[in-house]
Amino acid sequence: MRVALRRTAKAIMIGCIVEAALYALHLGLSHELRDTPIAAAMLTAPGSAAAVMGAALVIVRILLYLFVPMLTAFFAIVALVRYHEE
Amino acid sequence: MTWAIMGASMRAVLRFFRFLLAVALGGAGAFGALRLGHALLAPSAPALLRAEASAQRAAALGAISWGPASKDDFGTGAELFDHEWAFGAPMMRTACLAQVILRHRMLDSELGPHLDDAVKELLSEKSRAFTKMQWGSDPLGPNAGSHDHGAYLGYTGFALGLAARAHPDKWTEQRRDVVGRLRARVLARADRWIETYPDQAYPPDMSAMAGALALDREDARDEDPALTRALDWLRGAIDPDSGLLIQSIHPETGAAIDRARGSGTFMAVYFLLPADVELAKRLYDGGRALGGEGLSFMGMREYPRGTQGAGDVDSGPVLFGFGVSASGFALAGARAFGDDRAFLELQKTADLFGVPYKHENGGTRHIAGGPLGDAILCAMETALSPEEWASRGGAP
Repeated sequence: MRVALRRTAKAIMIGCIVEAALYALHLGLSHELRDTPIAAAMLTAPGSAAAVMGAALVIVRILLYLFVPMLTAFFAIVALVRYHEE
Repeated sequence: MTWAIMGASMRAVLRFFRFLLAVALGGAGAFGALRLGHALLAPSAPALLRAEASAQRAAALGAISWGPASKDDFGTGAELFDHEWAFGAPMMRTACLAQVILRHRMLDSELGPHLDDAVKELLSEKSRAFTKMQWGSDPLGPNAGSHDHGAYLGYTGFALGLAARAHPDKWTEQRRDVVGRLRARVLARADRWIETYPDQAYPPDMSAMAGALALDREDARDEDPALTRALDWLRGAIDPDSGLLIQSIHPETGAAIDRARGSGTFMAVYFLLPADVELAKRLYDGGRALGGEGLSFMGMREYPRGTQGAGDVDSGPVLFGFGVSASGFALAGARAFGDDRAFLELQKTADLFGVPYKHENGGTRHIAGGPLGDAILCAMETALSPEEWASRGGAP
């Protein structure tokens, strides 16, 4: 049980660290792009710095709100169930 | 020996089942985390759906926060599109502010001056640059002659019609001039579509013209041959297979040049609300089939199911088939026709991809939206329903 709890805690901790890093990146990119027309840049100049940073911001947001919490929950629960009897 | 083999097999089977159980429970946890992330997005969507003053004020202030639009704000890579967007921003901002003021009169003291500024910007020389570039004449000048300037007159007439309803003592002369010119062009074109640019006709632009003509009526029951003609043209531009509006049409033959698309269809729904509710509903029902979900997030496809196409200046970026413009414009129809689930879900998608933040003026502004995106979003989120139009002398 102790192994299971340790692995679950580790999964949650890694998830939290990644979330914190993503949040910091989100803040930085949001601040940087506040007055940049990223939608127009993504459409007409996909290779431009504004378009790349805009795409990065959206990807960071998807990771922050969806994928990292999903993966964290998945691995934390898997660790708890798989190792609780070992 | 046999017992040992059986024991080992049982342990392997148990391990496998434990693995399956772990994956199943982990999957359930992941789904729960996804739903939690989904639930945290767009917290103000229900208030917007209920048309609460505070939520609509925040949307309006977000649109205002960008200030006057200039072609240099956009950088689309084409001068014409930059000018078009610099026109579209004050046009949609005017519509947004007028709708919020019409619904919440107590906000007029705060938002009214911004509405007047948006109208002034809309009527300014620089907002006419896109159409002057293409036609070589001023749509409001004495030499417009046989030049249609369909898009400029339609969108401006629609926005002025809304502004005049919010501020009945203002803009009357300008509105009559713009819509009078539009009506004259529609009636002069008996056998040919009104053109946005020389030899270019777009049914979605025609929907704005129909909306402008409808808002010019004192009473929704008034007959207007120009409006009747515009609506007939639009009915003829609906693709019978998909129920969507064709995006571009040959002005003389009426043959489709571009496909029927989500962005134009949902935009037309918005502009037709004060003109012809039945036609607007028909288009919304056709467009609703474009709705789809991915990872719990809803979007509207730009092209009918089973077909593919690239993004362009009308659709905005198209990701996995879902169009930014189609999804944004669909908010108006969803709100107007009581499709609450679509409204709330599309708001969440807009929140995820639009990257909103609180501006210092108290408004909600979207980084990915920019001056045009926030103005469009506000106009669609605050669109008046058929019942609200009926109570204000709009479409019967």
